[in-house]
Amino acid sequence: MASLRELRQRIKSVGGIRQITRAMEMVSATKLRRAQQRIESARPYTMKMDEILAHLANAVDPDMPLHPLMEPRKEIKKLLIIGVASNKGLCGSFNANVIRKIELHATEAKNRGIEVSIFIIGRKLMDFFKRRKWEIHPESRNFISIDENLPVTLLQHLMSIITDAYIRFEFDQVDIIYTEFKSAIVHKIVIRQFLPIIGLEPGSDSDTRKSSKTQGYIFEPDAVSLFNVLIPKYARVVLFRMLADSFASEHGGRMGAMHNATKNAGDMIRTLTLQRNKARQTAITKELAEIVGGAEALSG
Amino acid sequence: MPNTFNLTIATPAGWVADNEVESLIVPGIDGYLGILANHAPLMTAIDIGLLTYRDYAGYDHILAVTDGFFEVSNNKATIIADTAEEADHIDINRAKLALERAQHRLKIAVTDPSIDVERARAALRRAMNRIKVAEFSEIMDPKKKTPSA
Repeated sequence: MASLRELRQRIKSVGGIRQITRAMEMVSATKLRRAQQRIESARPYTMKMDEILAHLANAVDPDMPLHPLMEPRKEIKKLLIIGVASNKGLCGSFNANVIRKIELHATEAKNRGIEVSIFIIGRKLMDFFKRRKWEIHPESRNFISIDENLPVTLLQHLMSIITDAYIRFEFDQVDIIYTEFKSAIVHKIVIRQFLPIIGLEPGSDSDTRKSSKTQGYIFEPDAVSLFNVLIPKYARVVLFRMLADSFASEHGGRMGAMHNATKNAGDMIRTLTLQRNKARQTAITKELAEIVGGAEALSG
Repeated sequence: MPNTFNLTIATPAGWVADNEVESLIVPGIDGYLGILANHAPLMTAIDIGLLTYRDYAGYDHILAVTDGFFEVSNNKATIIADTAEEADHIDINRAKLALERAQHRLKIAVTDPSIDVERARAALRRAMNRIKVAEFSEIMDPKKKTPSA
């Protein structure tokens, strides 16, 4: 068994670690709250946008040519995967899960003969992928660690890089792999098709709604061009949602990991203290026995 | 009591307004539009510009908005915009700095091809709009305006 001195030292150091993990847990809790607030405050905007889009989609003639971002490609030859994870570790399996999903998705696409490029957001992902065989999108390095507040100008910039590349036929499909935020503890890794945009096709709603809702609207200048103005904005909102979710999940993950670490440190201190007491008691007993033995020897 | 209608303004940062209003002027993509109660259903895109509305109590509000969307139907007006700032929340010094930066970028863009002219131009317009709105509201000073009868 370890010596008394070693045990005392270990108890002290584990106690120090527990203090740090507890502080980190609390910091993550605050950051999580802020991240949730961010999602919450954007909700009216997204909600209203969905409403307006639905009204517009009904008014647009289904036979008109689709917006280039909605047009599906006949053959998928090149796929862009946008991977979203964190800049820092110590958040449980958060990064590892995203990495695994990206590799799986990329390998699967490759096996079907599709060229794959990866756009990386999050330093931890970059650390992993820069030594792998996958092609990394060159613009990616400007977005590795992005501002958590997700300012509009930044999103606009990121979005235009991706949509421009799609319109230039550099890619035939863009998927995003990110962590969806359900609650502080429940997160889900999701693969979502970002481009071409699906689910907004004009006239996809029932005919009854079409006639009742949109007749009589005045469009300035006209429905089709409005629709086309709104599509990139919609794409930006989607992007925002995913990044914001990822940040919230990261903080949730870190909070959980740090909570467990704090608990484990407590358990460890408990067993170490027990061991220390035993060792101390043994030492005392030993000493006593020696004294008694010595006295015995003298008197004998 | 004049006729009023409901106005909501939402941006990615949250609600900016949810109010009963008497009149509204929006910077539509094809020019400014004045909206009163019982307007016919209309939809348009919003440019960078100055948005004003008079609320049910008769107070005027002046805002700087950038790229958005406007819809009115059934006496409900909805605006979604990238940004919408009340004039007295505008940091005029920051706007002036942004303006200078954008001007500088446009100037050196002639020789430096790495500069995104589109972005710089948009930044310039946003900064100019903010300054314009802040200055306009100073002249108007809506806080001192008494509610109309």
